[in-house]
Amino acid sequence: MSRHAIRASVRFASWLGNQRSMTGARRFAIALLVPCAVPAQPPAVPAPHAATIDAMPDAPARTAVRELLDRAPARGIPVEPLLTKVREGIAKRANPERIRDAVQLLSQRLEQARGALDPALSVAELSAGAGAIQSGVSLPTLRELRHLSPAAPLTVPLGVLTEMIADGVPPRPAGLRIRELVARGASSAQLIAMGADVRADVATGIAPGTALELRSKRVISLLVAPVTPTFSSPVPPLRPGRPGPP
Amino acid sequence: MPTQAGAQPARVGRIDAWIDAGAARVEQPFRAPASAGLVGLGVARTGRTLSLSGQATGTLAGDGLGAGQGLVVASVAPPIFTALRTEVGASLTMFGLASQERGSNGASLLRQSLGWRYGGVFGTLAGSHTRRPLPMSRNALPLERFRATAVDVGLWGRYRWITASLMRQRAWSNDYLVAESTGFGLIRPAASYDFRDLILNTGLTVSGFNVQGTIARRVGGTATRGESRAALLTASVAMTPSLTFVVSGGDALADPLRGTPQFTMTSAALRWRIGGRRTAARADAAVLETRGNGGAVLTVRVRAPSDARVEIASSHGEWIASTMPREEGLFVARVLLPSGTHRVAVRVNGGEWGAPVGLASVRDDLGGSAGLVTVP
Repeated sequence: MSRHAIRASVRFASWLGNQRSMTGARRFAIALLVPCAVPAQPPAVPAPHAATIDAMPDAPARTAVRELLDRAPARGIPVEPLLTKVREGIAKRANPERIRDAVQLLSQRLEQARGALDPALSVAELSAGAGAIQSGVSLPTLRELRHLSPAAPLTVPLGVLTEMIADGVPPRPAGLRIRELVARGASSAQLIAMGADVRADVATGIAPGTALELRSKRVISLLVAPVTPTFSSPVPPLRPGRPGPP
Repeated sequence: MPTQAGAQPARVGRIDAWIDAGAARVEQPFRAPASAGLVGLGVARTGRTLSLSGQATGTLAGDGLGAGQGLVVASVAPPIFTALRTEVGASLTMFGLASQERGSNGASLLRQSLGWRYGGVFGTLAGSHTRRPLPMSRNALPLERFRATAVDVGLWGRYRWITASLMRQRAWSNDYLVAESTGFGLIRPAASYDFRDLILNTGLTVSGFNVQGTIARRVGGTATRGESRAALLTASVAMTPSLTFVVSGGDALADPLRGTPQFTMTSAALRWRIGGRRTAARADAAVLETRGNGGAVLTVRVRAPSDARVEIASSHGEWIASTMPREEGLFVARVLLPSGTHRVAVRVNGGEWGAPVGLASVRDDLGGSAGLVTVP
């Protein structure tokens, strides 16, 4: 509802309330209109965060970013990562249009990650999903990871996956390996250690794909057989026993 | 020519440089076994469309027969179809640098390769060399000049950590010394010897360990009669990210293009890589130390001049920059991070923000990059 419409509603409700002989119809109208005059939820950008946006010098870009942040809750994406991106842009003295574009890209990736990881277990997990999408991880891979790990956060698997791709491992084999490790119940420490080993191998000149093969097999040899061996289905049709959103 | 068909750059867009130092034991036909010291240096730049490499090697044998060799190879591919690579190269060798027996050779190659993970290759090679043999009497022997040409065709492939190539080469040379020293002869008058080779190269790279094997068989064709075989094995172990130990043993066929005879060799060398890829083992690499109760301490180190101003900022710290103090010659910051994924960036003297050494570098969508760290 626009600001003008809210103001008009409040005026009309006030006029109705000031009438001496209030009929039942008037009371009904007030009951309908007054709740509409009150915003349904608090503003998406609280005052301290508004100061962050106000630090952007360019007014059109500032407005665009504010609108993106305002719309974020309705799209089911958290505001915090977007604000962090704004702060990063300001700290790095990026031009306002670039900050706006970066925030827009991030909001799109967060929305995609939310859809693929549904239900996302935390903001951190959602941010890790957005980072993975940025690095080239496909949405079916995210969905399958969620299917394999419905209750445990995927923050670490997705973070390690993104790091390995940044180190030069192709997204597809990297995604397959991480899926296999998650299916076998690899711990966060094992995943992070594997990512570090792959980076060290790559640094010594080993091809990234080879490094991943070698290191992931070492971890796999310590783990039990996969609980859910069906990696082929991109989207699981049913997800019984899934917890609700946090 | 010491190039391998189908060899693809493992790391794109980087410049590597290295220095080799070692020793070798060499046996050649009609010559006493000799020990030699060898030093070499090389530089290579690998890219998707243009790769360049250059090597220089010097050997000094115990009998005074020193040699110096230089090799330059360029590989070019069109940006729209990088599977089609054209390789051109040239080598120059001077031997007898410290003795009376002197000579030189030069060779060139032009090869066309097609394929990414596997494919085919064909090429043409040419070489010329001069040699002044040791005089058996006081009379000086004339300088002899030889020429050779060759064509080769083959297949190469790469699967996971295994590489292989199978090449068929045919060479024509008029160097009677090289031919006769390895048992080849002519059964009727001919303008040149005709050598037909089948060469199998295989390689295996596993976690810092690399082994390469070459098996070759040569037979004479047309008017040439003779047969020879050779097998050479080379293994290398990365002891540290910058230091590699290389051993090699076996024999190699005579090279008609360069006029080198068949030889048996055992060698050991250390290869020191200068610069190259930033490694986690560097003193200024970021280190993540996890804590028992979740979270971790990330220690970031930056190498910069002592009067530099080095700053660090992170997504967890709302990208508020803080100045890094200097400790023992490096700028150091310790950042306490909770569980999750975080982005960290550093800059020197107000310059561009970038990923700290030792962290995966990711795009920040703002025209720069940041380091990514995952905390359990």
